Amino acid sequence: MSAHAPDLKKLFAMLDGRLSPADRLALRTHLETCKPCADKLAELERTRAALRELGTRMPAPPARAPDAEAKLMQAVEQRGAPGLRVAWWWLPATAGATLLLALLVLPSLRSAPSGEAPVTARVEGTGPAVAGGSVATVLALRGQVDEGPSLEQLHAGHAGEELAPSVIVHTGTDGEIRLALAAGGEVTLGPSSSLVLPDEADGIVRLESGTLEVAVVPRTEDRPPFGVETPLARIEAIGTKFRVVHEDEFTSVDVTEGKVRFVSLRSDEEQLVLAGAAVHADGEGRLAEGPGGTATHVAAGPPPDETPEAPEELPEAGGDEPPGDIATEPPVQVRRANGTIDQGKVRARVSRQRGALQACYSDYVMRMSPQAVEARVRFVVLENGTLGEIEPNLSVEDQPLRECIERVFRAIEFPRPQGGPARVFYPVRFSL
Amino acid sequence: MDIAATTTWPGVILALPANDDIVARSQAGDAEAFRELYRTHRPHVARLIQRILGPDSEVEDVIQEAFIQVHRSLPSFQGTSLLSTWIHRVAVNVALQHIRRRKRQRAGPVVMTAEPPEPSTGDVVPEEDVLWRDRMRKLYAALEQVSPKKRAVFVLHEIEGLSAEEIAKVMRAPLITVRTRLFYARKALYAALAVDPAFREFLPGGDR
Repeated sequence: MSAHAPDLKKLFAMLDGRLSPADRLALRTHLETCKPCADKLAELERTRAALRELGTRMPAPPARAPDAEAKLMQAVEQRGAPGLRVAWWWLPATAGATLLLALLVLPSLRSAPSGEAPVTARVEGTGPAVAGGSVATVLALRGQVDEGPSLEQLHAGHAGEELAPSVIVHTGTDGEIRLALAAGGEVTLGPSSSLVLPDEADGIVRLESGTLEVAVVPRTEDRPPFGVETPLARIEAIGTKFRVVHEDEFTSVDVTEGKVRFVSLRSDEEQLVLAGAAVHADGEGRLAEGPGGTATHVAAGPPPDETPEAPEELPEAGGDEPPGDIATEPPVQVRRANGTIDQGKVRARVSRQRGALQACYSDYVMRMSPQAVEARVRFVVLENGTLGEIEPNLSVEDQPLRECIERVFRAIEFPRPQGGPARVFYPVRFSL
Repeated sequence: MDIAATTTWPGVILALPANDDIVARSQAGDAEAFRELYRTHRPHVARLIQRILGPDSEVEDVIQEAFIQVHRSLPSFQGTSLLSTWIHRVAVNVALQHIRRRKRQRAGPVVMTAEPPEPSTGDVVPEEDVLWRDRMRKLYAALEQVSPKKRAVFVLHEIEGLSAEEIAKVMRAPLITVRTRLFYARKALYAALAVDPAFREFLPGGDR
């Protein structure tokens, strides 16, 4: 009799009828001599049968209430034509909040963007209870959201708008939005991210998913620490610049300046994170040093062994992409070797391949294990925009994953660098 | 008008007529057209949302919210996917947002455990119904333990019987990602359910 753990992937594939006839036969033969495997398959079959039957016994969905259609039509008619841009809950800021913002917004971020721009982000209101006034002001927006479900939409014309308490801001895969918070400081929400604004001016923001860059002024006696919460962790800033990334079962913080306190909400474990360091929490509440892994949403962060000048040259946080075409300020450049290349465009181009990168990792997970993987991809973009040498350095030893990532990068058409070939470092972190 | 989508399972992705005219008129702000769109798609959206949320007193509100989102998003519908698929995608997203919001509103760490069967309220309920209600409660208690995305994939596959390919279309995710999420959701949830007497004692085809 075999004494190994049953291969769940194979058993589920059997259950789903996805095994080839040859594999099916092989598994059946194996089951004759592996009682734990046969018992496991029987258990899976029983559970699945129960679930299927449960599906048929679910109560019928609620019948349409007599007034449901009328209420819906009233709600949509109040909004006007589909896709109307300005939401009813956008109220002017209170005088206090405006004053606070004026004091705290960092000088380099004071200017609002101008010009026409496509929709950048979507916002979700939480009802009419916005008497508390504004908790944030939109400073700048870049990029464009995908086709798809969108809520109230934000575009460059909304720079300067006040956002109400508890509003949820979602960016698309090609969107980035910068907000000044009434609580003090400024945050930049990266692509494919969702942020819940505080429910009151001093409240903390909550990053539901994605990447958030934070720049806050030092804490003072009369001001509580600025905070970011994710489903897994709370991060209290003590005057600092840092980046938070959250995906399903993972939260990380990278500190650029100052220090933050990082508290796991699952285990209450906490750690002080100093400039240059990174800490992450997993779904079990464990804290660990380093940026750790984050979801197939590409999350970039300076790895610990980078050369000293590297952090300035990295594509900024978070992965997916900020856009390139709607520059509201001079684009940050990636400088390496001879040439320079627009980092925003690099990130945008890489980010468009997020699905393909996701597929590489999903394939790895199915073959190997669900562990997080960090890929430090270094490559050279030649003057014609094609890729020269590329070196994906993985935190795990896996040739197919390395080749898959390389293939994805090779298929990207990069912006042409100026002044010769440009060298780029692009860390990508994956986790389920 | 053509037939938009089919499935072999009586799930949420049914053959729905794809009426381009209704879409165009709704996009142009024609209230009557949107009303028709709502009437056509509401039953499937309601079923989908109810399956994902489970017993939740706010199902009706979430259905309404889904259609408000559909209305808001109509300008971004460019016909690259079927209207019914697109509407279901909106509905799934709204349901997931609802779950996230619900989780957020719970203070402190959430410890969900399967609740015991409700005490009898005096009505005589057949024993079998009691047992299935118990299973349902336990299933949705277990679903609280996985991420919303894994939850959606699990429910669509295991309860609704959609294929991974169909789920990938609805959720607009790579197929392999759907398979991966499904595998880990199944691994966690089957393990949790299999040890529960209500599921362990289930006899296919002849349940007590």
